[in-house]
Amino acid sequence: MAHNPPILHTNLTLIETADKTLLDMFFQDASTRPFLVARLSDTVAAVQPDKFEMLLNRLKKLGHTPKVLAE
Amino acid sequence: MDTQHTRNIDSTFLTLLQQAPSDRLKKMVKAWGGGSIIRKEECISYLFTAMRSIERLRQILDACNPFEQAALALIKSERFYDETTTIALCAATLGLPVPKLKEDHLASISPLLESLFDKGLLFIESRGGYSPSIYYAYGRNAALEFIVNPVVVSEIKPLNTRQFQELNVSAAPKPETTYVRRPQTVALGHSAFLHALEAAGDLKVTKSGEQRLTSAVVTKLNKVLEKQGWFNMSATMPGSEYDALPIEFYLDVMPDMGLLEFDHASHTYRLTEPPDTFMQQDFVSQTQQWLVGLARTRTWAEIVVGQHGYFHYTVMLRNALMVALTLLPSHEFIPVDALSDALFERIGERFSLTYRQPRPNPRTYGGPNRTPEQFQAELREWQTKVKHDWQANERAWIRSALSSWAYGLGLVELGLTDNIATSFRLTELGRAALDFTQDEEASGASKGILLGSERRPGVWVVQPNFDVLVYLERTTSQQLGLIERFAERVQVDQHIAHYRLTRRSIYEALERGGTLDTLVTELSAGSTSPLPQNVLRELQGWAAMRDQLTLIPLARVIEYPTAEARDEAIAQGQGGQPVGERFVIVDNKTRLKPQSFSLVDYARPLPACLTMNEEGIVTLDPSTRDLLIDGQLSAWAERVDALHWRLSQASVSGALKRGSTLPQFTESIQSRLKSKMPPLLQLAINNWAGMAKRVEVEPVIAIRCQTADVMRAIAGSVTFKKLLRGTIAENIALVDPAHVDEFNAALRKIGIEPKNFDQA
Repeated sequence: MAHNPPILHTNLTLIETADKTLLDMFFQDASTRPFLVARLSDTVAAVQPDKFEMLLNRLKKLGHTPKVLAE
Repeated sequence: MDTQHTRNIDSTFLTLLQQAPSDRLKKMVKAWGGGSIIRKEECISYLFTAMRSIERLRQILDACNPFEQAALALIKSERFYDETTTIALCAATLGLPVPKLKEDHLASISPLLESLFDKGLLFIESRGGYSPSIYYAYGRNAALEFIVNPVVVSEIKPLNTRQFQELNVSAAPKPETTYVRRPQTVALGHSAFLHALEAAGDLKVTKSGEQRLTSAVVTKLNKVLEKQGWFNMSATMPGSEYDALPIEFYLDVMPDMGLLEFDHASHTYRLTEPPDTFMQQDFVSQTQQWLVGLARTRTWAEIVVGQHGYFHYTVMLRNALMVALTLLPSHEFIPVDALSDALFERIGERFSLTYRQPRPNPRTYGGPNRTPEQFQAELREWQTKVKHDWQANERAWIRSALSSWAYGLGLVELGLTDNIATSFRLTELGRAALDFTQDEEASGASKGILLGSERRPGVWVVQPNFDVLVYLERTTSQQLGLIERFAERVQVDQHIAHYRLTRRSIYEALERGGTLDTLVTELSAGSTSPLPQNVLRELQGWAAMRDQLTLIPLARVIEYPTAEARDEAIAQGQGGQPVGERFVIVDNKTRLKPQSFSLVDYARPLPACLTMNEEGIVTLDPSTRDLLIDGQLSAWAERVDALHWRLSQASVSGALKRGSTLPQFTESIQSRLKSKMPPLLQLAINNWAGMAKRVEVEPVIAIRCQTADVMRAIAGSVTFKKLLRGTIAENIALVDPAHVDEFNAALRKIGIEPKNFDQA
């Protein structure tokens, strides 16, 4: 693996939380977990492609107010 | 008639001159003081230079007759449907002498603007080239555009309708019942409609090509409008069953005012700007934007007059009415009938919404044998008929126009008798919006609220329970825009609008680009008293909550094979936000260091990166691995090492028990295989998933012949065929154990002594 070139992932949706606990909670919650496909760090995870809108709506229903960065 | 837009000319100017016919060029040269230049090239060269002389241009413009000056001013204003008949009609409404026409009816298109073409002040472009006349372009069935040199535009004096003779109307007694819409109420209606359109999403149209919204979209739009409270703010007058500004009005006018645009690729309409942007304009500018759209809209009509409904004639009369409203003598109430009569005086014999007999002509109509008295009688009869028709058609249309958009947009206060508009007067907003000169004092729109130049404190009360009570009379459009943006509308009454600040409303506003600083500053500036401390604290808390969680769509992430490789890349200048041990998020502005990357694009089908063997071992190709595959594999298989997983009965059953399904396996795993899945593994996975294939086992006797020809003889025989279960090779067949003795007896009959396999 050390010999492989870096991989550039494009058009990827990420979710970033202010603290680890919040992201842990989303990975444990059955209604949000299916949208999360890989954890890049304690506070950043990759989101299932094409599921951005569904995750956004789900988070809003859960009472969160996610900031959506301009594309 | 085709829509014609004025646009400025730049590099196309020389081309237009080159395409103009010689006789027209010679007239232009003469107008610009060039004498009798013969050669076309010389004419073009002369004009190209001469037309840059501001002094000469001013002389030519000053020498234009009032009709020509008015026509240019109308085109410059870009407020009207700039098409020759409409320009002529507006000029006639102003009381200007309109050039004599061959057919004395304005609807018959004529070269009214020929003199401006001859002077080189105005050009017509059609299909990207010079058009010598309007007739020429019509003959080619091509759209027209008026082209006017920007230098000419800058020198044209704006139309000041106060310099023209007022309409001959007398004041009406003040009506007992009047209705008027405040600018604030009008603007709130627009805001609600625009927000509803934004919330409704894609506005798909029917496939018929008429660009009409589908019934599903209309249903959805109605639901959103209901939610926005738009129907509660409708412009319906008491006693009337019609809304002055119905949904159709908005949907038909908005494309012409540039607020809605059609996307031919997706067959949808979409807003060209957010509702907030529209609301940032003052009340006068908003209204003028609606009037520009209304002046061009040919798909919506106040009422359909006559059997065929000539919508393009409706546009002409609508433009003339907009001009006529600027020619009213006072601030008094005017009878609608008086306005109708006054407009008839100016244009009635030259225009009608419906077909009518041409004006009698002593030379060409009725024959030359009539006496002058007979012709005069015929003319009087025609005039009586024309006036009668006007009162039946155009007067009804004028009343409808005043009751619909003029009332709905807050331009007029209506006086009603038996629920019918019988008189009206222009509101301050009406006078300001219809004014051509943009002269605040002259238009009478000296009120800062209308133009947003004055922001008063004390326009709202912010209560500790987050309710905001807005005193509508005092608010500017920008203040209304702010409160519409940050708060939820609860109820709108005549004088007060009730809003509520909520976590959701603040969140939505911040998501649309608003800032907490703007809200707090503006909210405080408009408040009757300092904002309650608990409200301030909560607003800050809601804004901070939004910072707890961020979604980044369409992100770019570099994944390095090791933490050391990532740190080295950063040390060498790779910008971006380091994440975890091996990742860097790079936004679109951050440059990628020149380096070879494997690329994974999540907007495309993900790469094939797996191989599987019959044993269920899955191998991942690290060069094309994406961020999804690790998790997807782990859901179905047991990890062996960094690049290998094993599918087993336990792992597959476990995945199914956790709620996964076989179609998901196909979508997430099987679709990523570089080569076909081994059939045995496929069979095993199906079986582990409970989709077992039945396999039956039963004992049989195998017989083997030394040569294939012996087996062919046996298998083809009627005697043996009924005893065989089939052949499995050219010299091997199967016999049912129950018939083995019978089979052996039959062999012996033909002289073959059967032996066991080991004996053979």
